[in-house]
Amino acid sequence: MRKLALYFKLAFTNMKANYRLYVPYLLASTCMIMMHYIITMLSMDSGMNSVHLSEMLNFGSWIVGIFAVAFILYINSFLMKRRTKEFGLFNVLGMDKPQIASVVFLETVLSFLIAVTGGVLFGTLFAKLVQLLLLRLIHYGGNLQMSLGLLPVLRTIEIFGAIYFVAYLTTLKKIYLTKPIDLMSASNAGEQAPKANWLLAIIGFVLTGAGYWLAQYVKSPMEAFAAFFIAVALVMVGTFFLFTSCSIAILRVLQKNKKYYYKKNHFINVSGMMYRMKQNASGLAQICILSCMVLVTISMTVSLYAGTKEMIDAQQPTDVTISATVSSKEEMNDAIAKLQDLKDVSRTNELTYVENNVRMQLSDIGLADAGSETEASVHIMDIATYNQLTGRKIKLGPSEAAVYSSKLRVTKQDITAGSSTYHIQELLVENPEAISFDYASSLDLPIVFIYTNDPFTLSQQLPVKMYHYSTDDTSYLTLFDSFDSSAAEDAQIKFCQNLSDDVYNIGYNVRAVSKAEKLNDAYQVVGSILFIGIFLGGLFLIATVLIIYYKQVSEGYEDRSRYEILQKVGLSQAEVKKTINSQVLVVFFLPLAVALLHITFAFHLVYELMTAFGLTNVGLFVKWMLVTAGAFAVVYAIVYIITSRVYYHIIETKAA
Amino acid sequence: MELLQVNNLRKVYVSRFGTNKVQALSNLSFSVEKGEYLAIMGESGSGKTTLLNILASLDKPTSGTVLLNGQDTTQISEKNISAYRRDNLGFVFQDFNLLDTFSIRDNIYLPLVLQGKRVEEMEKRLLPIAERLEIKDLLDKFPYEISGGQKQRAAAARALITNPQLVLADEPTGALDSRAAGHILKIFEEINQEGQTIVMVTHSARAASHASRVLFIKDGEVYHQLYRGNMSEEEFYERIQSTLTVVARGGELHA
Repeated sequence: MRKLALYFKLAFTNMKANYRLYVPYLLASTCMIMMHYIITMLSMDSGMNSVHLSEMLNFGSWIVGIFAVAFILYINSFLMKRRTKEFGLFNVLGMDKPQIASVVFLETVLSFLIAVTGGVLFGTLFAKLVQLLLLRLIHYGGNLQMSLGLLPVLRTIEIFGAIYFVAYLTTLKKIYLTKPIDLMSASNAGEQAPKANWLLAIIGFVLTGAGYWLAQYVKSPMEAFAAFFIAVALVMVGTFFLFTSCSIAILRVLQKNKKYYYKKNHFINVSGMMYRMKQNASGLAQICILSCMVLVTISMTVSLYAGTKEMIDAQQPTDVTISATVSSKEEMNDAIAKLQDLKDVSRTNELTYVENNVRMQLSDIGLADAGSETEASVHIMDIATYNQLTGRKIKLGPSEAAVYSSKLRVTKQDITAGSSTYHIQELLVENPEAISFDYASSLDLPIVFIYTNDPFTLSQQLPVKMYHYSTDDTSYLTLFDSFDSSAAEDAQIKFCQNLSDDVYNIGYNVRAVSKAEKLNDAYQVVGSILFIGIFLGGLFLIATVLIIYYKQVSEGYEDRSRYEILQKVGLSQAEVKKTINSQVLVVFFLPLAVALLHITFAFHLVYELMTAFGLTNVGLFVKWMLVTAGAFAVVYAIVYIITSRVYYHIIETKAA
Repeated sequence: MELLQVNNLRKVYVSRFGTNKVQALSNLSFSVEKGEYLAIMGESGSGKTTLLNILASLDKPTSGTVLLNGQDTTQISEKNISAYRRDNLGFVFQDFNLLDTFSIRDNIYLPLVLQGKRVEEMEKRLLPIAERLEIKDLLDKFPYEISGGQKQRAAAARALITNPQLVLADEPTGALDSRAAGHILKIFEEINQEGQTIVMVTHSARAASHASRVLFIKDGEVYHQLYRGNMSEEEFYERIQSTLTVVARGGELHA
């Protein structure tokens, strides 16, 4: 029992003595546990289930968990590396390895208890706030109850207990596999002079370049999806080589140039940088990649969120859109009359038209030569609709048509519909905004709008019908009735629901969508994506900050002796500080600069990806990308100021 | 001609809250002739290190003056002190203080680069010194690749390459085995004979026996001094040893 007390005391003093390493570790793990606990709690909350977010949140809780594993293991390995000397000393002083293992076990238990208690405590405190944020993000009007159960606490304890246990096992392996003499001298192992590996340097440039090129090359969202992971992998590996080999190769070249190298400022900086790059290259590459992840995650999700309204507006310009399937002019008129009889909601800017939208082979309409693609999204419409919307007065004969197309070379040629032929009388350069939206454009499919006097007859003549489920040979067209309304959103939503359920007995397979509901649905999805994005971004940020901090601390210890020698050899304190400062600055901001470069080159690729989600506003995306990058740079700079204060504190304390 | 003149040097260390005062140097005076090779001996706590730090202008005395060629180094401003140090003084330390980030060549070049010398000039100066100190083949190696004796010779080359007025050596043989120590002491003696003024602080009677004069300090004051004169190295060594015994006993000495 007294032994246990002694171990506890040792474990506690160890942690206190290493506060510079332990405090950030505890803070970061507390934050991660808090985040995991909150998102787990929300995913299990019945209120969230009622707004259909449980699955999304559950997914988020897994992601947070996975990254937490990676980060905690990484930080733990770093901590233990710094402490090998201490373990060696214990060993030399007569503690055997099981005893050291016991002390480390207690340390692990202590830090686990502190982090879990803190995480759950702060998690409980902030949970309501986070819930409100989430509800706000998904534009949920009401307020939801939240239940604080024990289950999420248990889940968090389970997961993080497992993570800490694995971390302890890796430390154990380290303690048992190392000889005391190695433990003692581990951090003073002789440093090899950095050698330039030109092959790896070239590979680094080539891989990064290939990734950049691939990102510029993609032309459609589909290609972007395929290229994204390849490009990311290329650039990630390339970045690693850029930092490890290219940097040293460049410095070597500078060193070979005697006129440049043997100058007061260059001399110390070039060799110092070489040493630093060798020590920190992989850490810097990690920081760079994590920064890219933060930037891409946040800017994508924020842009998506900010662009939602605009996206929905483009999809559905009016407040209410009713569609019904009709097969003849008579049915159309009948349906219109029945629909307009409904006075539940007020109507302005009403527009009614029929359209037959069907995907077909270009050869089906005799336009096989018009483009490289074989398939197109074909719309058959009434020329009267076109004239009404544009104010033009195009007159067509019975077998004449007017055509608007995109991504095709259509001339004033003939088009065919079964055995009938229509001559293209008019090539339209513009299409009315109210009807020109087409999902096909986001899939990169060519679009053809064919306007005739009688869209019903033309549709009947076409070999491909819109409704494959129809058993007879009738060709159905969609009748659209769209309008704005000053009625309350709820009334609009109710009206549309009633129509879709055919409460009014209209017949004609009626469906109605209100923009209000569409927006609600979209915010539900996009809001929860943004929520997860913020969580992940926060997680990456914590990891970035922590890696930066540890890098600074470990460098501080190593630079201290160099700093003293330089002063003894005749560099003034101010000069030493200046040179060290410039090196630290470069090392610190290099990952940020490279990350920004990566993001710049990734822009086109990421933008293509965004269009797949329906966001087409480049300006909006650019704006949020810049805002995100700017905010990140500010946070980064603040981290720099804080950590460099720790760094200079270490430097200025004389080595014992 | 007197190169270095140390007058009534006093140094008092005050602990952070002023509660504890420790007098490291009480009233120390001596001078060094140009071309002399002076060894300063004393036990731990005698004030040797404090004295050397003040001579090196790394520390300031509480009172007293240090004149190098008539100029009071204790009055040089903080801004100019580093430049003054690298232009006039050369240092050899017990633990070599070579920078692990530099090759041996670059370590030796360091003070010249700081002085802003041209590459051609640096190369011209390095060659004879490297040959003199037998490190010509080590120039492209890094500190961790060579032995302690080789490191100390490299450090000596770094001290000498600026043609300093005065070389200050702090226990230069302290971290070396006897063979390497003998080698570096022989080299010190030779460069002294070529006209280089050297002040060396040491524990070792063997090291001191290579000097032309030995100063014994105790409790922050000059306690005694010995001139080598025409004595052989062995004879001088014996004299130093017996003097040290007397100093340690605290007896009276008359030279």
